[in-house]
Formats: sequence, C-alpha cells, structure tokens
Amino acid sequence: MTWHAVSLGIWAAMALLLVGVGVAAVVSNGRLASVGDFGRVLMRSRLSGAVVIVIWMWLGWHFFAR
Amino acid sequence: MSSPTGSIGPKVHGSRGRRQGGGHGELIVPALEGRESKASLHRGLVGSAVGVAALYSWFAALSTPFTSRADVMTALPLIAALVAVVLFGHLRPRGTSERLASRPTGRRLWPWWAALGVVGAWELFCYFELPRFEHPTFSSLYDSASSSQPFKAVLFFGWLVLGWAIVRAYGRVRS
Repeated sequence: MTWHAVSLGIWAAMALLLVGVGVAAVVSNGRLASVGDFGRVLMRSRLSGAVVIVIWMWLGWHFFAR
Repeated sequence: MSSPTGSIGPKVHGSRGRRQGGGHGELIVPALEGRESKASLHRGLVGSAVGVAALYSWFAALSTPFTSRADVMTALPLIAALVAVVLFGHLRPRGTSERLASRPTGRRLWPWWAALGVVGAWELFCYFELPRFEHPTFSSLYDSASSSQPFKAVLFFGWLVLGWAIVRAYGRVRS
C-alpha cells in the first residue's frame, strides 16, 4: 500500500468523522450541538463571524479563481 | 347543564380566527390562507434561488482559474455576501434575538472543535510533507477533482450554499 492510498484513506476517514459528528448530534436528542448550533456559536461575536466569512471567501477565491 | 367556560362553543382568536356561518353552530376557521400563501411564495423564491445558483454554478465551472472570467464569476458571490453582511451588521439594530443568541446553547460543542482540530492538524501535516502526490492536501485533492466540469459545478454550488448559510446565520444573530 502506497503513502498516497494511505493519505486518501485518512482524508476519507476525516470526512466520515465530520459526518459522524453531525449524525451524532442529530441522534443525541439535543445533548450535542448540531451543525446549526455550532454555526450560531461561531457567529456570536463580530470577530469570529468575520473570520468565518473571510475563510469562506478565501476558499472560493483559492479554489475557483486563483 | 352548562359546560366549563372556554371548553365548548365558538371562539375567535383575535384577528387570527374567522367565523364561518352564523348562529350557535358556527365554525372557527383559522386564518391560515395568509400564512399558506406566504409559505408558497417563500417556497417559490427558494426554488428560484436554487435554480439560479445551480445555473450560475454550471457556468462558473466552465471558467478556467487565473482568467478574468473566473475572477468575475467568483467575485460576484463574494460581493453579494459582503453587501449582505454589511447590511446585517450596520443597518439592522441589535435586538432581542442577538441577546438570546449570545447565551450558551447548553449543548456540547467539544465534538465539533475536536473534529475540526483533527482535520486541521492532518491538513497541516500533509502541507509540510512532500512529495505532494503522497501527501495530498485539501487543495490538491480539489485540483484533481475539479478536472471534471460537473463535479466542479457541484463544488461551486456547495460553496454558494455554504456562503448563504453563513450570511443567513450572521443575519439571524443580528436581526
């Protein structure tokens, strides 16, 4: 097995981890924060909200423009 | 024999209810028509926005990075998001919902921080390791995937949806 395949497998595991946290939040009957709760917490202050928006803007510019 | 007050008989809930018929046997019909038409209008607007965004994503995916066309197609949603954020942040007064939103949710957030920390650490590890083929970063994975135009359109659409969700959350906290 090459390092390339191992890296891809770990990336797939990372994606499953994020999906798993989202699913766990849904089935936890409100004990874990949902993705919406997490987003609202990030948006509570102007600074963290601005950071999230700048990251989103950078991602789009980096991937689709430059 | 009289029934307890309020348990049986005609009721009108302020302006939200509407009497139908007359006399003692009148029926109460909630004023749902206005809400239904609003919901229908909302569904139509959302459906139209999704359609426009999907079409826009398809054309954006046709553009090649490092060209002026790609710059413009990417910059337009950025400008729209910025305008929305400025409007939400400065024109709308801080109200009750912001104070409520500032309260802790009471739900555990640590799984999200832990998961994002692990993903970030893995991204950094791959970024500093070479060769890139053996240690692909999120960016290099995207480069491989974006050679397919339909897949790139789906990614662009996902980026638009994410931006809409972020701006909406920003506005809800501050409205």
